[in-house]
Amino acid sequence: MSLAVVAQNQNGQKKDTVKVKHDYRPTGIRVGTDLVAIIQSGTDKTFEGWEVNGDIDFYRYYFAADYGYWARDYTAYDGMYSNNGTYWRVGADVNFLTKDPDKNMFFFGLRYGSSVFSEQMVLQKVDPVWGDISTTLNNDNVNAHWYELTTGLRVKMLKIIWMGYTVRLKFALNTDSTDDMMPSDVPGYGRADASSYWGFNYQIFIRLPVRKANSIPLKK
Amino acid sequence: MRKTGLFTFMLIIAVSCLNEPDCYQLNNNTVVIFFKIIGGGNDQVQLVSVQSPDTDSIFAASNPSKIVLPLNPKNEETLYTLQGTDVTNTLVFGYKRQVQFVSEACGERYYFQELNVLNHDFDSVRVTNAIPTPTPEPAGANNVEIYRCAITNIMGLSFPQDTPVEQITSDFATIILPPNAILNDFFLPLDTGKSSTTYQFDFGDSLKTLYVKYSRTKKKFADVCGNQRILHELLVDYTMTTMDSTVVSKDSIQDLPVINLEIIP
Repeated sequence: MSLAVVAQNQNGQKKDTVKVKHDYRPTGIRVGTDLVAIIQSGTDKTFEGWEVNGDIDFYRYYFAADYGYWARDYTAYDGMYSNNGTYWRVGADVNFLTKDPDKNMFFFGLRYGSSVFSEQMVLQKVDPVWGDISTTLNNDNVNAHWYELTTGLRVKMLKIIWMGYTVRLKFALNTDSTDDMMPSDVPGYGRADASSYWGFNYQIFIRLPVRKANSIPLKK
Repeated sequence: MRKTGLFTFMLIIAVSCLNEPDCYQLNNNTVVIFFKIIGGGNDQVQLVSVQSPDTDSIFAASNPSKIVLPLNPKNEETLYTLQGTDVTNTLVFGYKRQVQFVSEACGERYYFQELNVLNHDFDSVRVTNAIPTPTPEPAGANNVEIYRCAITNIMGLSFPQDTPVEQITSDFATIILPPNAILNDFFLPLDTGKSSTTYQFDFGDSLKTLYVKYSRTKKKFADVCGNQRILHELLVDYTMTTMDSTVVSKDSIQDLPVINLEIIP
């Protein structure tokens, strides 16, 4: 960070002001993964998935990108449902801990998310009015996209090891579908019938420095 | 410490806000139908049965002005036959429907949309809401209105309770009560071809005459009904009427019919 002292003449008096010129050059790349997805894959028989997360800093602004995969496999009383697909998100975060020397983060951000997935449903039931209903329905290579408001923390734990979490409010989902089947579960988003949806990631990162950050003068 | 507190707070908020599926009112698979009179209000129909060839179930009207019918999730059309006391009508619904998996506990749901009436033999049918209604139906739900042309010549009579009558005849060709009926409140057709109608009541031990006069106005409520004659300014010609007492309680003929005359034979 570079400082410049500017003298301003006002009513014959000299007044000192300091213009701070921020350095927007990146200082490091952070790459991590979502522990919730890994733990859920091991404990929840209906879910399998993973997600990698990354960001890069431009002063207090961060470009963030995620890529992931999830698959679900449900058995209901009258049929089965399964899906699988990949998703990605890109967006930006703003760090509100600007004076933290370690560049720990409390951030708010915005994401655009997109997913391509396939799903299948097998129905086998006896309707009390209409009798036997037996059918197999598919949605193949369905596109979906949505937006997210994000907030969370990134905390330096060890030298290059960081941890953090991201809370996501997902909204404005738009999906394709076939005439017979409506998407049920969108990888990266969640239930397709929800107009907004909460998401949560608990993440572990490695931060690779690309250059040394300028030191920030401590406030006296 | 402050970081830990903030971290924990945000974690609690996140976990508490996770959505769970709701199994209530999953399917919007019913059509709420109201029966109405063109130029009037709600109709009151007497349906003997309502059936679809796709199912053995027989459906019943929930009240005289309304019936709620399910749509067949296996097809994109559902035909219904509505059998009334006098006439049988058919109604064919067309729609799009999609299936969506909800959860292991709830199973799937059917989402119906683009409801329309493909065919019918009523006087008129109007789709008021093309998104069918969930089950159980919310208050105020209305998908389809079935209209019939108004019947403009039915006069209501009120007699003392359980007055026996052997026969009623009129001065124009019409169908009246079967012989040997018991009269309370009942309804008689008026002759729309002229401005008066005469009835002969055979009470067994006496023969009484009722002579009513009225004004007629032509009105076209809808093309399907053509020009209709509205009867109003009903009055009794006491010089020709031989009932003990006849009081006009309402001088206009309405559909649904109202009591126009209170009679003591």
